[in-house]
Amino acid sequence: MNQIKAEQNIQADTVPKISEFRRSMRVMFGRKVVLLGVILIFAFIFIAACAPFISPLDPYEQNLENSLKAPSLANLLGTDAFGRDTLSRLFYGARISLLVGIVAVSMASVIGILLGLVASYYGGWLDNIIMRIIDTLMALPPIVLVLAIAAALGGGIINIMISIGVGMIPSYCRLTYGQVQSLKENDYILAERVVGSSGTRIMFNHLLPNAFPPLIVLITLNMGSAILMEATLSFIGIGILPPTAAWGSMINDGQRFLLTNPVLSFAPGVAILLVVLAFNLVGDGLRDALDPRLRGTL
Amino acid sequence: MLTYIVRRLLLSVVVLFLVTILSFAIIQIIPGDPAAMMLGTEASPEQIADLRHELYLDRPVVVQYWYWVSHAVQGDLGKSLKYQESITKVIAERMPVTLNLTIMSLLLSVVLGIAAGIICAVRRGSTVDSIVTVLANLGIAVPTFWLGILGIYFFGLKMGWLPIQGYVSPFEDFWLSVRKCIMPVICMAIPSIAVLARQTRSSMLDVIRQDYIRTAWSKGLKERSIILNHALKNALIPIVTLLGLQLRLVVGGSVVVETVFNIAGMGRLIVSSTFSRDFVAIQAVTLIIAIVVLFANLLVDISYGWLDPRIRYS
Repeated sequence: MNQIKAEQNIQADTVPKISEFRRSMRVMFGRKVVLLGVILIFAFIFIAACAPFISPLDPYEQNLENSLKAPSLANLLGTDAFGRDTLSRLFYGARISLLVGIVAVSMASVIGILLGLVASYYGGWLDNIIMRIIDTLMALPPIVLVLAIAAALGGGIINIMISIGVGMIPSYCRLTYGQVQSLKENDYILAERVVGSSGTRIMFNHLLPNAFPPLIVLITLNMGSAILMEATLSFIGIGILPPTAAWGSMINDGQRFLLTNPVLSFAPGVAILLVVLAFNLVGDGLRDALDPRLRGTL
Repeated sequence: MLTYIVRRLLLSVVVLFLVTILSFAIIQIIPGDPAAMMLGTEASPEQIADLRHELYLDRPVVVQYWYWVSHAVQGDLGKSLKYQESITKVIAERMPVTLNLTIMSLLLSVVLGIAAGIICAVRRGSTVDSIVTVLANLGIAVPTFWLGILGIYFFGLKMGWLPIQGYVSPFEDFWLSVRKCIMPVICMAIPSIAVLARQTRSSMLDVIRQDYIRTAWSKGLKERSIILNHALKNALIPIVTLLGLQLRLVVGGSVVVETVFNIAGMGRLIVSSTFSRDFVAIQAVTLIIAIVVLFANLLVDISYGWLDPRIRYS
């Protein structure tokens, strides 16, 4: 009896049984840069969610006597041309970025993944039609596609989310398609078919979960891209319309006062840089943690 | 190789056809009457009806499409509402500007990105490697328009080293052209430099571990020859794939950079057309940009087949 237990202990020692989830977590959070990214993302979400409570001043209240002030104790990041507090506007701008990011990425990932699954699993003419449409969308630079759609639909936050979402569909579709192409050759999928499972069941219960790790990486990275795209559109003046505080339009507003108050343009840019960087760092961390080829080395 | 090229070419033709449908569709997804939207609120019903007739909007969709495509093939993409002249002419003036900026940025990003990636892979774990890795992470995340504004502030306004806006053709005044292009080209190139450096580093690291590299070392070859002839050529395949994807992003970067530096190119044209709801111009610009991207991707695909014989025969 004791001998058996001892043997089990030896086995447990030589083959450490850590669950895949815990191993991934350890790889991810074991690196300081990834941890930094996670902290930055939480700070960003916190600021966006609590903007009304943590903003020192009203972001929309104009005070023309107090315009273009340099950073001071009353206005930590100074004020803009209308005397509005830059820091408060920065906090409110985080809400727009987060909202656009979440909605655009959710929309793009749901549609893109579905199209990729269907095209790859059913193949044939469906595959051809879907993938050629995706090729077409990929012939244009995302920003040109987004501008064209935004021009047709008009500006405003909803249309911006739709156009950014449409611009990101191809990447999800392509990635899901590639994943499913190799997964569907596996024996367990064949077994499912032999048992008589429906196509939907195979796609959603078997193919999708197995194709998911790289998709979650793409979703994380795309949060950053969507926020960057929204900022770009707002900077150009197509996206979020004034007086709503958005980081891109704040940079554009500040551009005219570069010599008098450079902080106006610099601060929102730093915010965009940090948030996009955070999503990229976490995305890279996830990629390494979920990559089966790196299992054992990390 | 020839069949491979022909197959790629045919695929491009199919996509090109779909691109014409996409460009054409832009005017169809406008909610309401496109003619009324283009003319604005002050237009009289007669004016709107005239424009509808001029743009063939009062015919069935298939006829509209046929009319648009058959004219497009002959180089007539319609009359810009904003410029009141042939949009083909407007594009012909602006195309060289954007092409110049794009080609210079691509060259810069290929040279710098691949060189930085090779140095990092060869000197893995060194200070240079860490610095480049940090810079690459920042380069991917930085908003290019903001980078442009930083450049304008420091190198233009504070130091006075570089002009802060505009564009001059290199055939007119070469040095002024170079000075004016430095900042826009660097801004357009930075994201691609960063992405290419990362990809080059990781694919070089993959290749360096291979047996044939060890063989090359043990044969007593020089480091330079091993890295450039043996390792780089094999590491290039994923880099070229990435370059194909980066191409359209660099072209897209011109939209932002031309806006920041006030350069009259294609990017600026699509932005101003978006503002003035000049859909004739938007259709034309998207079509032309898509053709340029398709053509460039075709070149990438062909070089890909040349680099990796397995692709040619599959």
